[in-house]
Amino acid sequence: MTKSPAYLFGDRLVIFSIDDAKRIYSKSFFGKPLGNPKPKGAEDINRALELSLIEGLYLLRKGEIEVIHEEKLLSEEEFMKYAKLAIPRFDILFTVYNDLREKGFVVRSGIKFGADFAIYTLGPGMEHAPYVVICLDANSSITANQLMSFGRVSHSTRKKLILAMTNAKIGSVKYIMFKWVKL
Amino acid sequence: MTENENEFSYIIEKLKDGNITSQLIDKLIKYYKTDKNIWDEIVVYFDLKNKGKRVRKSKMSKVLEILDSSGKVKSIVFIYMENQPIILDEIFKFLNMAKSLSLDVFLAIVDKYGDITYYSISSLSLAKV
Repeated sequence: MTKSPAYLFGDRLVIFSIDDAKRIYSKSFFGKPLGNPKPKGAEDINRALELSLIEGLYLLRKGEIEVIHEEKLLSEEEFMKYAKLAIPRFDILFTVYNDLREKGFVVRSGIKFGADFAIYTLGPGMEHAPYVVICLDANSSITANQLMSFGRVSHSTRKKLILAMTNAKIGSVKYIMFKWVKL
Repeated sequence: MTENENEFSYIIEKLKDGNITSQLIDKLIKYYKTDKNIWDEIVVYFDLKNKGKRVRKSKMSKVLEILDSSGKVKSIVFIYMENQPIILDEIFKFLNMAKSLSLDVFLAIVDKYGDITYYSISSLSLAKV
């Protein structure tokens, strides 16, 4: 299989070849074409495709892309080292992303919902994301106040909130549904 | 009933009646020394009672039980103060225990003014339908 070259710029990877961009996007809604946050489909991809480093590592492991940083081809280890420095909580976020992708979900950024990920069963543009996901380290603690702020997010966006509790060392993820109720 | 559950019931009854004596306050202080969550348990207990629930204290600290009309436990309420750390692994273990007993689980978060917000929590094995 031909690997698509993805060029590292800061905390983004860019695929410049339009054919590669179409191929990668149509795999399962990976990335976002430049200046077009909501493409209707692969046929809408007529510019470079940007990928997050999280998507990048997933695609790198799947053998779909190769990562080039300042003319140098990076190994998976080198790329991971870079990504961990560039993105706080990278291990946790990637563990959850990988688990959700392997379960067959389309995983996109959840930032506009105040969450880490928004997940789709069909894909963006085909349905509203039914779930938003916040990723947490299972061995950590949070304050009740933080937990309440998560509850506000899901309530105001009318989405189901899932707390993904990860053990990044062993790659396991446990999911908890969390919602505000009137008792 | 354990001694703590007896004491809790006694305190609740007295508070319900508005029958506040120095003996009651002493009991509360004594109880507080062994269970720092006593006041929040009381606050949540009264709130649930006001909502028409049948409630009793669980053997565990920070936990109340909601009973159905036959007196069987149907839900458990885990109480946290707003700035108290919640150990996520503890929540998950608690959820697993509740799931094995087919109980609903709620979190009652009590803020610094005594206002209570309830959340339902449940574990799920996320799978694409």
